[in-house]
Amino acid sequence: MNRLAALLVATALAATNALANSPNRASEGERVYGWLEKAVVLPVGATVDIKLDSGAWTSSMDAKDIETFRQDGKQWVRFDLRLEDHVSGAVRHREMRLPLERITRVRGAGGEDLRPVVTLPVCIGDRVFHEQFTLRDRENMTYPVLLGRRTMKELGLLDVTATYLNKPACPLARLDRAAGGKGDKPGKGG
Amino acid sequence: MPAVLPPRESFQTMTTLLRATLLPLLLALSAPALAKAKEEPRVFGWLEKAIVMPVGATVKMKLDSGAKTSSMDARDITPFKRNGKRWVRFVLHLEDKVSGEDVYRELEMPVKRYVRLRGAGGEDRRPVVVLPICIGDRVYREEFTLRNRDNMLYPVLIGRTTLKHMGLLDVTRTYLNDPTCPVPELRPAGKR
Repeated sequence: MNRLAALLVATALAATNALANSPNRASEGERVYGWLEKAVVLPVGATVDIKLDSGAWTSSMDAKDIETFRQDGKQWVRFDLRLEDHVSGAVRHREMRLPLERITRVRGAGGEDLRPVVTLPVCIGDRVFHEQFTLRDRENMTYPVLLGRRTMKELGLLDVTATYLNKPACPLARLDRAAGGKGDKPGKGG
Repeated sequence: MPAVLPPRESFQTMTTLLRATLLPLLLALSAPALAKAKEEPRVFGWLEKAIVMPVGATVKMKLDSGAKTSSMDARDITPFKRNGKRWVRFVLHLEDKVSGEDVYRELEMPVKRYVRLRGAGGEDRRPVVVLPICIGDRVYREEFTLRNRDNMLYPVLIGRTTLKHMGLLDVTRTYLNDPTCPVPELRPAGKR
């Protein structure tokens, strides 16, 4: 009987532990993001709305006058980042020249499209992420930055009932370094 | 109940006591843990399996936080009027991932509303119907836009209006919740 009771205690504890850590339950302390968040696009210092889109793999960003070119035998992209800063209401812009990471094929209703991919630093919550973005003239879209799964996997869980759970708050020194870096090596937040 | 066992108690009394003290203690210990586990929201991967109840087919679906409304692959989508109301006739033709067989059924349903979809190819109006779908252990009655998703990888796309009824999303994982709802008897595939 004694042994049975001990066994019962053990199984019950194991069961509750298993329940608490079951893979389809959130555990305490996990970071949660809304389907809309604000982020700072560091090269232009603009705070923008970003949409977290689990349906997309690669993130994408609105850019104008996108051109690819060759320099020293490497492929580069020249483009204009032109974003409205939600804090000041002003449009911030800067001409960018970045090494081309790759070209993606995008399947849409209108057939296939090829888009250049570059690595850009953005501040989400209290971390700077150097993430790959496909460049695209998203003028007619509501949100200039779309985060795909590739970026979201660095973040945490997604709650589609919520928006703006994490205000961008990266330390200024880090912002300057990240924004000033000319295509420094891609990394995971810092 | 005594906190310390009296010296000359029999073994039997001791076990009875053990049972009497340990079991409530055990329950008291596990109750908060169980209650807490219940409070934690359910987490879904970006891909899950679901049973489309009207055809009893288990399909793969993509959980897409970028889309507002859910959508489902349907063929021969034909709007019509019934008693002055807007209805739609369509064919659900899906591959059941359990049996590997194609299942097929023509349905007629009232149209909840029409949605305007902005796409690369201009604007499009699509009918919205309410369809029962089993995700995890629950049947959800959700709004779906009907659309020929033939060239898409996943026949069902779950948007935010449905995701709101479900829980949190973990885009690093897939297939965390297998559908376990009992499926009603269906006529054999291809028969109407």
